[in-house]
Amino acid sequence: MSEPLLEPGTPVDLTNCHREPIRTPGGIQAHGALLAADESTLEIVQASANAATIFNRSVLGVSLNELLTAEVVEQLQASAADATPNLRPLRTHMLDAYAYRPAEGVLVVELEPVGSRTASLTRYQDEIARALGLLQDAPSVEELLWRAARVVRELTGSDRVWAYRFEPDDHGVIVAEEKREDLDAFLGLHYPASDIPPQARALFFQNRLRFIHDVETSATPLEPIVNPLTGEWLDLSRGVLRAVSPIHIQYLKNMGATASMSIALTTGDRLWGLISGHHYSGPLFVPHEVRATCELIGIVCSMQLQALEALEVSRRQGTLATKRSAVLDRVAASSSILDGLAAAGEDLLAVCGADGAAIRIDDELRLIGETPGDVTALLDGLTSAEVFATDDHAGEMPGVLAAPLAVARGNHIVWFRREYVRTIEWAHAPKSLAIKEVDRLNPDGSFRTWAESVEGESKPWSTVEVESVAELRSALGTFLITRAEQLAALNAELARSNEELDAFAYVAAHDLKEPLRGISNFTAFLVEDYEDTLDAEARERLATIQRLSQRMASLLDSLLEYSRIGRADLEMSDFTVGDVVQDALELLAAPPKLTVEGGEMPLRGDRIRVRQVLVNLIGNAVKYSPDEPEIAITASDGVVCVTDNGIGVAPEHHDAIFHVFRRLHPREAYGGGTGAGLTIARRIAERHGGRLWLERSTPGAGSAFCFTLEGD
Amino acid sequence: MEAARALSPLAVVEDSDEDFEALSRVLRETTSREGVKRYASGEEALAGLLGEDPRPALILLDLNLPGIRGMDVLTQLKADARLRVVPVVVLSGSSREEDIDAAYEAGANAYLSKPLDYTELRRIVVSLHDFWRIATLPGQSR
Repeated sequence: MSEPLLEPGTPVDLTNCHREPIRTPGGIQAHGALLAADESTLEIVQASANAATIFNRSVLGVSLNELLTAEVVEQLQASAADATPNLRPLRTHMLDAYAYRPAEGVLVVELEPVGSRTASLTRYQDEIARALGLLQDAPSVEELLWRAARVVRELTGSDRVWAYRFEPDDHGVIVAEEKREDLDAFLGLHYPASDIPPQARALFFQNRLRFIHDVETSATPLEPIVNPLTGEWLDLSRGVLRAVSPIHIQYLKNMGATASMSIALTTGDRLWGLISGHHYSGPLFVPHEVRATCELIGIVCSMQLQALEALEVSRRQGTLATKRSAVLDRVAASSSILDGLAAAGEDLLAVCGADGAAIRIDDELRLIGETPGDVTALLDGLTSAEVFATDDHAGEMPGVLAAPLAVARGNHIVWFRREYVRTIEWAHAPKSLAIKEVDRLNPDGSFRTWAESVEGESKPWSTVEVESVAELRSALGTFLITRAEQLAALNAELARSNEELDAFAYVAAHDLKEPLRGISNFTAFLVEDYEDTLDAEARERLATIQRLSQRMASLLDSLLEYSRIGRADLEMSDFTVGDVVQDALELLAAPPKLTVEGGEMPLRGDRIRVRQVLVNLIGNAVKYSPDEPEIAITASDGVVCVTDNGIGVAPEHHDAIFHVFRRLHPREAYGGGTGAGLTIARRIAERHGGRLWLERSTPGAGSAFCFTLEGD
Repeated sequence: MEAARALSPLAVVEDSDEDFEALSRVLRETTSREGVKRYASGEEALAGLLGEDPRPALILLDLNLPGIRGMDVLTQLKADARLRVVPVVVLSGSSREEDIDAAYEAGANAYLSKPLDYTELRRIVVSLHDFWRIATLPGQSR
């Protein structure tokens, strides 16, 4: 309601009725009378035009005391501060009197004739007790509203009573209805939000009841129209007689209604809905006792609504929580979160009542149930770190509820709901008011409806469902953290056992060399000492023992070297690729010809170890290449590569070449070797925080091995 | 006490019988086994050398010993005023730079990697023997 209200008295039509100043209509419903007095003197300064008739005398300038007696006026003054005049009228002269102060120093007294059906207070007390009992027992919101409609219809005698619920966009739906049997049903009809302008909605919080007793009788104006004490039109919002907006009167007439009423249903600061009634058979004067009962029903209904809604929410929360813990149990029992979520299947869908779900963690995608074809594109489009829900996503499945796990890595869980095509029966076309379509009305109060087909939407995600997903997400977050911690502990454990393994390998290799030395030596002694007695075959076998001892010694040396790299501290220094290539060439027995590109690229590391890596890679390149090897060393962006034109590595062996002591060729082919060189070279790179890998290799067309000394 | 020009006594600290056998075998070829005193452990060597045993002209010390470690034996020998002047030739199965540096740091006069190859061992021991024979080594007097 950002636009200012119109000046009182401005003619209203469909274009400005949302700005109509409904609190200051300048008149009252004609069945009652109004007196406004200066409270300091009690002199009547303003009155409804019909007051003189009721009192049989002119009232302006007369004292309130003179008209109503000092005793009554005193009581009215005392009760004027009360918020609900409906509950506390004062009966005097066969009139029900209410008082309130619309402005400082102004006392307004509204008078209504006591109804013809005046009944004993006891009877209404019984009615109230019965009604409240019914409402309190209602097991669901729907049942509560049906009972409320029935009770209100019985109390007021109205031809039709129904309950509206306002949807999030403020349009109303009729969810319960009690009516005269011959009338068309309104049940299930939708009413545009504009049917009840914002200022009218706001007024329901101040004055919970609105009764229009007779739409045919025109309002009685106040005289004078402007209050002499305030210089303004009188604010009648706290009273019961306030005149009805002419637009609303027209609206009711178009519907065939002759009288109407509305009772506010509120939850917290929200207008939840209304209990409304239409009467079609002439004026309906509802006496104050009945109105008081209706107001009570409205209040109790509101309280029950809140309680039942909370109960329904908590029941649903309970159901969803059960599903969530089933999902989390699955995740806990799985080796990965992705597998756990995927294994949860139906339970994962039930966490928010979805038709399908997609889980993507580190580029691995799992789909459950019904999912749209463009799921990857949809996941890629998610940028928010918050849980996000929509029911009108433009795509195969309009219901999308996304829970990002790690947006930067594209990790999400997304639930889907299929399209829910439905028809909304509008009581009349939403953008136009009844007044524009007079011809559609039927005399009995029924009227044509306007059906809207709603497509491209899913059933909306409820707050509870969105919260459920948020809960699951944060539980998974804890899980991820816990898992990360477990992983860290495991890594530490692994590092420790690696260290122990290194120490073991070192000691073992070292100590094994001594007996091996003995074997080798004593074999030599045998050969020397029994030179004359040994035949050729015996000598040959002894030579084999020596050769095998030598081989075992070199394996032990490799093992020693490998374990040493794990244990030794690196002596870091700065050098260039060219420097260390030079170092390596100096160390090689027969340095090959090679080209170096990017030799000026700086490296930081343990120069001796890096040299070792290059000796190994260049050595391999020579070893596994033809007589004229073409070896190239290229360095850029922190990556050093050694390329050759040698025999290459078959794809199935790309992993095996890095396994310690794993050889792909007969021991003596390609110059022998223990098969630990690449393992040691890789370990050196890893010790520096870098990597060493086979960049590419084609059997017969050469290989390229690359390494970095720093992490990516 | 014998005259200084005679082949000075050689102390060998070596726990491995096989290694000592190999060593002795070479020494036997080059000279008599006379004048070679073997200690089979670090404890034994320290007890003898720091105790009543005559001061050797040269000590061959295996670093890989059971019980007290070879490096500790070396440190204690070099801490003794009487033995400090005797050259210690260290024998080790390790060819790690760190081990070599540490041995020299502790006062070793030479570091020999124990080779697996007997021929290689022979070459080394013969060189050592020659050195032993021609070098002027610390006197015998206590």
